[in-house]
Order: sequence, then structure tokens, then C-alpha cells
Amino acid sequence: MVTCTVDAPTNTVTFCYQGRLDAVTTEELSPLVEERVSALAKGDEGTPLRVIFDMKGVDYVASAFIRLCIKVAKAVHGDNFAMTNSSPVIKKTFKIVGLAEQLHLT
Amino acid sequence: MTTETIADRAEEILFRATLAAAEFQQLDQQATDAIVRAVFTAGFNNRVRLAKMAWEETGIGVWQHKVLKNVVATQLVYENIKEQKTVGVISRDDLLGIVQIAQPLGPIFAIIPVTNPTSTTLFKILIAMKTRNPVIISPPRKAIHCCAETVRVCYQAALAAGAPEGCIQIVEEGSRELTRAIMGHQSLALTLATGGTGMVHAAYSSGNPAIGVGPGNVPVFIDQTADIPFAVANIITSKTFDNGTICASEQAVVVEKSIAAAVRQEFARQHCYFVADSELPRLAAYAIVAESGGMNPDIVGKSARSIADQAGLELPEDVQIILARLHGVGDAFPLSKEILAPILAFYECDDYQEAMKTCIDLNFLGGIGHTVAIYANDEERIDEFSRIMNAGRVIVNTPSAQGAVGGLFNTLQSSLTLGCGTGGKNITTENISALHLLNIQRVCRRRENPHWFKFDTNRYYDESADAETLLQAYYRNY
Repeated sequence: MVTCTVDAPTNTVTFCYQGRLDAVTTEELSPLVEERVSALAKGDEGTPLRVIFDMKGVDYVASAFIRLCIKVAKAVHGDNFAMTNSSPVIKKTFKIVGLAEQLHLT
Repeated sequence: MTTETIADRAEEILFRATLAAAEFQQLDQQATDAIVRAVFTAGFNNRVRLAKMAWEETGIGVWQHKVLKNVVATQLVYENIKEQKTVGVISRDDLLGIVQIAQPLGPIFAIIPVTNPTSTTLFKILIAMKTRNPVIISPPRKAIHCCAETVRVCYQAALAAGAPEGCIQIVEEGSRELTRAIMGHQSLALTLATGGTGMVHAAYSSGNPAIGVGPGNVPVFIDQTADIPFAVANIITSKTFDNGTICASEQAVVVEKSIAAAVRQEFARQHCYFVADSELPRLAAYAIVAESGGMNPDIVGKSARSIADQAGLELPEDVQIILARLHGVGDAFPLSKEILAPILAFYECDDYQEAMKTCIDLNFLGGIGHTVAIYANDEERIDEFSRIMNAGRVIVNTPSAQGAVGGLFNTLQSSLTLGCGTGGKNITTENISALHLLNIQRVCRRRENPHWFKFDTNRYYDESADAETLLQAYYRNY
């Protein structure tokens, strides 16, 4: 459901999601994601941690996943968070919540 | 609650609902219908318990009738909606080239009346789930607990069936300011207001879309051609149902003098009694609040026996309905107004014309656009009556309360929210249903208008060319 890659020079961690991010799946992956972000954020104090959620393989998001996005974005102070490769359906979903711009979703 | 707290609370509620809306709109018809089925089943299976809770908490009506209201709100509404297409493409006309696509509205704020707390809650939750709209229930102060339990039952079932978290919420705070804050919130899609005029007015004034209802003041005209025992029995069935709490129940009986005695006798035979003229002021003083001119809230849903005792009226023990013979309509005749209890005004008119005018007076006294009723076996009379009255529902040879709600005595869409049109300051006269809670998108493929494209439209610029000349040319078939 989710893979994680870190680009050390830019201090960027990318989480690549796949498939259906329903409430159950989100509950399973949330601790992993939050823990990883928390651990990396404590690292290099020079370059702030940047988090990217790659949504290429995602076809459904539950409200629980949207909450996870908000939480992680807050943890890295908003501007260091982005969501990429969203499908039109996913983009519309975040538009409905009014968060597409705030979460830098493309 | 402080202003800040109210704003925060409204924000919290709407944020939760908006998240739910975002998730909900991704579900397909199958997933949606699974949720609807689950909610119907849960609501139906709890129909008796919830009805008893409503009766115990409000002290209004008859618990067995509240069970039947819950059945209408679940079983009959579910029957209406279960096959309806409410997701994606809902219709396709290849000839006209138009495809209709259903989209949800978004979060809905559902105002619940004290007269039908659990049934209206069940109804609004069902139609909201069917259309993938998160719903926020606003219970009346006197029915918070039974509504909260109704919400809990439905929400648990919805979640278990895959509905998004936050798809059903309830605002238990009972704060007028919070209600207004939610109604006016930018993320709210619609207020669905079933309640008093003030509440409906607030909904329409909120700046967000609203669907509301209006008050009723239902005249029932018994024509000379009517089967009088049948008519009287049906009126009793309606007016005693839940002790007269349905807004579409009869408020006044109007008959011509020629059959008045027979009608009075029949009411007496069926245990409905006229209050003495000398006691009318006492009944009026109890039923209507002098300052406001509106009905006494304490009388709503009380039995005729209880009313007779409270008002100190001399009436037989087995009284089902209290009848009050009146000679006018309006403020000077308080009992001519809407009273949601087993009290009926009674008018004897010289002839049919006067009877119609009396019905119009009653209809326009706080009941425009709601419901009127007629008992007759003369189709011309029924047509004429129907055309003259201003009512969303003209109920023929049927108990008015159950008839207006629909699905029992007629084929009207079952609903617990009855639109009253512009007379009631509403947007529709229809019985509100799931299909009112959709935004319909129309995909329009090119299908050229042959007349337009054949016609030389430059001819329209010629001021001297009149309609007849141009239309002849426009419709010319070569």
C-alpha cells in the first residue's frame, strides 16, 4: 500500500501510495508514516524536512486519509508538504474539502 | 456558549461533514445502496423502541401511532427509493442526446420537529444516505434523547456498511446561535427544515439553499354526494392519528346545511362531540395563546379526553374528537386556526358556493400551499374544488394526514417533509424525497435544431417583420 524513499541531499521523503486508502488501510499505515516523518524531522537541522505524498496509484481516499495528510502537513509546517500525481477523482475529493491548495496537491 | 465557541463548534461540525462528503462522493451506487439498506434495516428494527422513546420524552401523541410513523419513514420510504438511481448516470436519451448525471449536494442540516422526532430523523437520514449527502441532525429541545438514539442506531449501521465517518451527526447543544451558525456556514450545502415558520424563515434567510415546509390549516369539505359515515370515519382516522400531530390533518369540517344534521349525527355516533356554545370561549382560551394567536404548545398531541379535562369541558368520557361549531374564520374565531390536537372546527354553509368560500378562508388562514381535503362522488365538484384551493396536496376521499404523507392511501411519494410552495414561502409544493437532494448534471451532445439552422436568422433584425410572418418562414417545411 505504501513505499517510502528518502532523498538525503534534499531531505525529502516520498511516500508512494497504491490502491484504495479506506479507513482500515489508513489506520494500518498511519503509524508507519507518522513515525517515519517524526524520525526524519529530528535529523538534519539545516534543511527542513520535505514530505511528498505520491498519489499515482490511488483510486479512493477515506476521510481518515485526508486527516493523515492534514496532520503530516502540519508536522512539517505546511509549505514543506505536497501531494503529487493525483487522479482527477482524487483531486476533486480534496477540492470538496477545500484543501487542494493548502496541501499543494497536483 | 460564547461567540467564539459557537463559531468553533460550527466549524468542527462542518469540517467533519465536509470530510465525509469528500469520501461519500467516491462511492458507487452499489456501495451507496448497501449503506441505505443497512440504515433502513436498523431503523426499522428499532421502530418500536424509538417510538416509545419519542412518546415518553415529548409526552405528545400515541406511541403506537409513532411506531407507524417510523414504519412509513423507513419501510415505505425505503420502498420508494431503493431502486432509484442516485449515483453517476441516472438517465440517457440517445435521441435527444441528453445524459443526466447525479451528484450529491454536500452536507445537509436537517431540522427535526417535536411532533415527529424519530420518524423525521429516520426519514431524513435515509434520503441523505441514498444521495451520498452527510447529514447533521438538529433535534428539537424536547426530543433530544430520542433523536440522539435514532442517530446512534443509524450511524452505527451506516458505518458498518461502509459509510464514511461523520456521515451522520447530531447537534445536541440546542443553541439557537449555533443553529444559525451552521445554517449560514459556507461549507453547508442545504438546510432541510421541517418545523415552525420561524425556523423555516431562518433557513431561507441563511444565505445557503434551503428546503422548508409551511404550516397547515386543512379544511375538509364533505359534499352532498359523499358517503357520510365513510367520510366521518376517515376524518376520525386522520385526526386521531398520533392525536392530530401531523400538520396535514384536518382542522375544520365544512358542510352544506342540507347534510349538516346527518354529519353531526354521524360524528356523535362515532364518539365525536360538539362542545356547547357556552363552553367555546373556554376551549379557545386553552387551545390558543391569546398574545400570539397561535396554538398552545401544551395542547399539541394531547388526547381529546385530556383536553376536555384540562379545559373543564362537559363531554362524554369516550370523546375521540372535540367539535366546535363556528360561524366565521379569522382572529375573532381562534378555533378556526391550526391546532395539532383532536379538535375540529365545524361550519354549516348555506350552499356550495358559501362552502367553497369558507374553505378558501380556512386555506388562506395560515395554510396556503399545504393540504386540503374533500369527500365527494362528483368528479366535477372534485375538479372545481381542486382548482380553487391553494394546496400542494388535495386529498380525495382519504384521511388527510395519512393521505398527505403518501404511500398508504394513495400513490403519493411517502415523505415527512411536505412542501407548501410559495404560499408557504417554500421552493416546492412536492413531498420531499431523495431526488430533491441531488444536483443533476446534463451532458448535452450536439443535436441541431433543424428549423434554426435552416432559417436565415438575419431576418430577425428586420423590425417590420412580425411574428406571424417570421414563424411561417421558420417552420416552413421546404
